[in-house]
Amino acid sequence: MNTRILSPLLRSTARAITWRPAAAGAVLGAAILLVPEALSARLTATHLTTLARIAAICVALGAAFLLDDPATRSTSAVPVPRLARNLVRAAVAGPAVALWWALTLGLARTTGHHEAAAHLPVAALTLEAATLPVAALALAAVAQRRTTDGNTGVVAAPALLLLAAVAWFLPHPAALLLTPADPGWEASHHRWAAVLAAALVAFLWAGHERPRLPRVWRLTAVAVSVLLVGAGTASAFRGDGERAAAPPLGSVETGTHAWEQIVPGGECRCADGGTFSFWERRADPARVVLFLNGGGVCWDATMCAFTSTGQPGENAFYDWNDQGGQRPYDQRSGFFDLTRAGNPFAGYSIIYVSSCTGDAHLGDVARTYSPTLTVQHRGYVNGTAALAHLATHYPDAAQVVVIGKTAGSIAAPLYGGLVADRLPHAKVTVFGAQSGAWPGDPGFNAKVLGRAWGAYDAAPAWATDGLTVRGWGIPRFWVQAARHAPDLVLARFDYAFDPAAAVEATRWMPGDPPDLLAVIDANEAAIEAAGVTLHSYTAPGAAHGLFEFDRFYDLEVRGVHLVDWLGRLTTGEPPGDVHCGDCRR
Amino acid sequence: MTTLRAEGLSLRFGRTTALEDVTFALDDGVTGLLGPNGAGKTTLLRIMATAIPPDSGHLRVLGADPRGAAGRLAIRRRLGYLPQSPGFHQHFTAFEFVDYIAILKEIVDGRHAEVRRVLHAVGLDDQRGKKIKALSGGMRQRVGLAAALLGDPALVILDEPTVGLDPEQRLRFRELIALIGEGRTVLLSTHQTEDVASVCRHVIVLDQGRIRFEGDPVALAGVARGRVWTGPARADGALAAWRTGNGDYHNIGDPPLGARLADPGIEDGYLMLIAAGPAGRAA
Amino acid sequence: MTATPAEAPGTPAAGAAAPLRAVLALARAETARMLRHPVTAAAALLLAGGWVSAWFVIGTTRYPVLQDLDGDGTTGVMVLLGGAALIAGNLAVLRARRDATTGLSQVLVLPDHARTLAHLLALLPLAVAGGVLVLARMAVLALGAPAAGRPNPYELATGPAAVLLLGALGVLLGRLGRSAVLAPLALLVLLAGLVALEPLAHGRPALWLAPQGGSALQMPAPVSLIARPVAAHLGYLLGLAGLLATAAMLRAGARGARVAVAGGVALACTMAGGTAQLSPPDRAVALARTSVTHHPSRYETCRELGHVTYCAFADFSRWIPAWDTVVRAVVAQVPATARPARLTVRQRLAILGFDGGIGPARLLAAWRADDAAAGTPGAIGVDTQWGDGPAAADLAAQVAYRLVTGRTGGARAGERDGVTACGGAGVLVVWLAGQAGPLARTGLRLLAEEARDERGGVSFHETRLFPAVFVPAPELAVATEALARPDAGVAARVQRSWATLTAPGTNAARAAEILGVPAPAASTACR
Repeated sequence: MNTRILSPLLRSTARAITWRPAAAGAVLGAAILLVPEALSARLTATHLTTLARIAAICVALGAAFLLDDPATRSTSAVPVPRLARNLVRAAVAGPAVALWWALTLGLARTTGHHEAAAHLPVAALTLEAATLPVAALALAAVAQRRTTDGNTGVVAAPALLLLAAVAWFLPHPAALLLTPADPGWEASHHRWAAVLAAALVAFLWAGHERPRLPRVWRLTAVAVSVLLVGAGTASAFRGDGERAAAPPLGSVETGTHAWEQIVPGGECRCADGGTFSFWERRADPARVVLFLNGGGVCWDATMCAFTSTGQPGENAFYDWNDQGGQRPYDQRSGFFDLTRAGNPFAGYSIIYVSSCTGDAHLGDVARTYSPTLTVQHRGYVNGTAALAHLATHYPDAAQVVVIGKTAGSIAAPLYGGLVADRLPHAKVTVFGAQSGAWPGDPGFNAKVLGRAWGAYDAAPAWATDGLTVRGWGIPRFWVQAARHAPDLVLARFDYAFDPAAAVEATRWMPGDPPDLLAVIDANEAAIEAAGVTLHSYTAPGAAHGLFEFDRFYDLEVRGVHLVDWLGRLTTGEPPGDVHCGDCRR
Repeated sequence: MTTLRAEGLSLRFGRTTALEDVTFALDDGVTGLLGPNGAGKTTLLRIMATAIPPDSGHLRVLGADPRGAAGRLAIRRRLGYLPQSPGFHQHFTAFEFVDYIAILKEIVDGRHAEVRRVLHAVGLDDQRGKKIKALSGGMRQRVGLAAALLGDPALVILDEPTVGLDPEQRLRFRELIALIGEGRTVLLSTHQTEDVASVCRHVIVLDQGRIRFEGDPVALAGVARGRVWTGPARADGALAAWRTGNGDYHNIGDPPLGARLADPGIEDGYLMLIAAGPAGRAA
Repeated sequence: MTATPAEAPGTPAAGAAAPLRAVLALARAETARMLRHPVTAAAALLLAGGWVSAWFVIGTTRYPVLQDLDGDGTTGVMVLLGGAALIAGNLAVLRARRDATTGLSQVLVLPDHARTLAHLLALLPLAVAGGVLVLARMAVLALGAPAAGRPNPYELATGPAAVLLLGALGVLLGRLGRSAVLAPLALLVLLAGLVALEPLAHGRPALWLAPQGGSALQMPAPVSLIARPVAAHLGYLLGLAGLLATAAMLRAGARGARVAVAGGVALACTMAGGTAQLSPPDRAVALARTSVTHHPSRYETCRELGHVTYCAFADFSRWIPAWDTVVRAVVAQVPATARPARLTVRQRLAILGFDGGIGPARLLAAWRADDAAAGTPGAIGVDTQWGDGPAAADLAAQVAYRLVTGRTGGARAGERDGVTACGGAGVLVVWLAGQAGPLARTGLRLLAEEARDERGGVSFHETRLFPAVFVPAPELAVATEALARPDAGVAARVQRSWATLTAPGTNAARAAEILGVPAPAASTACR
């Protein structure tokens, strides 16, 4: 082919191509991906992947009409061969399709309120989005060989949909349409690459003008391909069946990273007198997390009743028979996804202590609230037993992070001080999450910390040093801990307006209803006024969960991701305070 | 110099035989291809234009063999083809469309001048800038013819170019074709015998995929010599009969005794060949 | 060629009946083309192929609950056959429009709207073909397997109605635009809607506005509790199809009273059906559901096979022999002295959400109370799904636990895991479950694989919702080794050393020793 005609040919071909189907496909495809994303916050990565695939098929349908040529009877006798003409059309349309995909996918990832959208597997989806138009072009090229009036799209478009339907029905070993979370995702994209290659070859082969094979050869080719497809499907099914008949698993790994349940015994009890246990995950012996779980507190007969009634309208307090709360191995996301690369605590050993005593790990008393209810508030006993286990089994720990979650974070600074006592060579960090609004009210201190839980009496001397029971309030814990162990790195996290974080204590907070953010800020100010460095991260909004969701990784305030902030906290370059600007969001 | 030589061409579509054992040769000048609908004219022309390959047989066009890609390319560079009911890109102007075909014909230097030349040759100077969908049927045919004339091809193949044209347009077409035919080989398919009579130097009659006649128009007329007569009524047993304008009947077939014989025309010869019935068809 | 042309066939007939006959003739021709079109054939093949493969791959298809599976195929019929109708109907109209501009030859010259009517009528046989496929599948399921319940005819008709709807859409699109890309794009928009609709309208009745209808209950239920507004939904779909057809006719130039009436009827159907299907199920059904959930014994009939009593809802009683096979296989491996005098297996249902005052603990308590009231304390629970491995494994493990420890499994209030079966007891539970047949063995393997959390071990459930028995990893490992050696005389050793194995002091390592298999890798404290 004479290459000097390339430039005018490109221009003429661009005018000759029927663009409307492709344009319609592009517009609809973009709408299909972007509109649901904008309308709903509940789309998962699976939904978005499927929608992106459908959008790509829309454009591919339009691409099926690219080879339409009403002047085909005339152009079949020109020197420029059919393959060259097809390639020119593909070359004209290719950049347009690529641009469309980049725009649509880019918009999808950035707009819309979606964490799932930001994590769309771009490379894999782009491979799929490239394969589909090429397949459409290949089908159109095959249709081109048989058409007399140049209308290839009318055959190729339904054929493409049929191929998509077949792909949907493929069994798992040969599947192409998997979700990103599926273990076969990578392998399926090798198959996509093979399909792309096959489509390219088909497109090139079909564009070649060659004499028709004699009828018998054509029939043989069809028969052979049908046999191959049938054999492939049958073997895929058989493969599935064989898997099902295989003998049961040989052995189950019970190796180091499993959670092990430890029953310390002794005086440890849960609220109803039942056995207390905590959980240990052994990984890096030099880095340990002491995780004080939350779950509610109680200090009267109603709140401490042993079975929660679950009736709407009543306080659904904690079920004090539930000795474990949510077990660590039940949770797989957020902080508890310990295999995730971005988790700052991925390699740490973890001691997970749940609260089954309703006293925020602080109490050591048997309290009778009613003739039928005596509650063992032994949180301090339980917690220090876990602490003892930690100190015994991790004597050479270089890093200990005391993490408190909601109610568990109330005592976190005190436990930080205790750890510092037991492991003087370790760098101890305290991260207390979601208790910043607990008030330092003398009435509360006396009634709850003092009388109900006996926490004042149980606390170590340095914690209550110089303070009466009315003066020993929760915000004060930080100050006492910092004074006792000046090397402690203290950090706090809160959502600005989370109503559930300190719901039991609202009546001791100023204001009606109390301005939670103001309480949080005031508490912090008081702590820092006492000369304590308290690193704080205050996030906007009224959410409640942090550790148990993937929000743990996505949370970002003013450009600072919480996980990065935590990482810097523990590695020794304490970051600055992060406070939301517009906290009502 | 023989422009085109075909030997034993055959083609089947499924179970239908489109062409069977077609053998002929073409020289300079205009050759007419006559035949009823379904005779295989379009198929034969498409084979000549290298658009489709035959199932069997030899073909040599402009000294090249269209079986190989190089041969096809060489042929197409010197070929002009106007297909039956050609399609157009409706939103192109006449100039743009012919220009597009010119690009596809690899005309690089002086392309626009060439396009203007062919449009002038078919008389479409004024309609150059009009969109094809705004042109009449006759003008569109001329656009197609102009595209076929691009690059001064040595072989021009025209498939029923005068269909749908009014008499005046048809006259102009014939003039044009006669003009083109000087110094070139033109193969023109039609089922209008006047076209053949006026421009063709050579005639091939095709019926049911086989060649019934090859020769000059006078010889074709001669096939019906002695078998054409006029009479007051339609004769029984005539192969064809029709009423003429002045009330007499023109009959073709075995003349009854005493019939007034008439001079046969090309149409009479053609009808004799086609209407002879399967048993009577010449091999 | 003769001189005078013969009379062309099909010259326009005179009379008022001619248009109708012409329409029907065209409809017949178009139907033949539509049914023969590769898209239709491929769609039908894929649909049938999918159903056939489900028989082999999805275990619960072999014990089909007909009132659950009848609606199951609707989406497939809608997408595949409906998509084929959409595209084929559209192509038919486009082809006709092309012909109309170049002139017709052999076919009667009909006005545009008559042609459109013919195209619409041509869709009916396609819908009927869909109906035939659906009915055939139901028949095969009902006859070829121990089926439970019966299908709802309205539910079965929803798929063909959706085919009609989509076909009408295809015809309308053909009248609206000349490009062949519109119909495939419309199908893709429909698919995208299906995907996006589910999270957008999660569980709410608004989902019924989509052609495939609202979501099914969490688990199959007896027919009387289903209460899906399918009759209204069918009316809604047919009304919509009528509306689209009327729009196509209007676009093709039809005018007059008949069109207006047809449109009015279609609109009325749509509105009536549409609103009726959105109303919540009536109170009686809600009460019935609660009652059946909390007191299943009042609605079940019981049958005694040997020493085991099986209580099932009337619809599901054909499954009792299958349950019996599993139970009997487990019991057979237990020494005669340890077999209980009485064992009860009771079917249970839990089709309510766990909000609004019904916590899981409460439901379990209700079941225990109900068992006690019915005179079958400690009944073992099965649910309304059977045929896949895990269901069989769950039942077998619960029975095994009862035989081994004499107690019923089940999560005690406050524990999340079900009772832990430690040491020899745990090993036996898993080993006995593995003896209950190939289905149970497959289920065992799947449960162990899927659990795959960091503790290892395998958890067996009652009715899939409530954990009943948990066997920790070391015990599971020992039992797996034992199951991998079918001919090593393990069964004999089990019989011989039953008492030792079931004693509380026997840990996993000791159990391994007794059974003659390698000891487990680690042995954590098990309480």
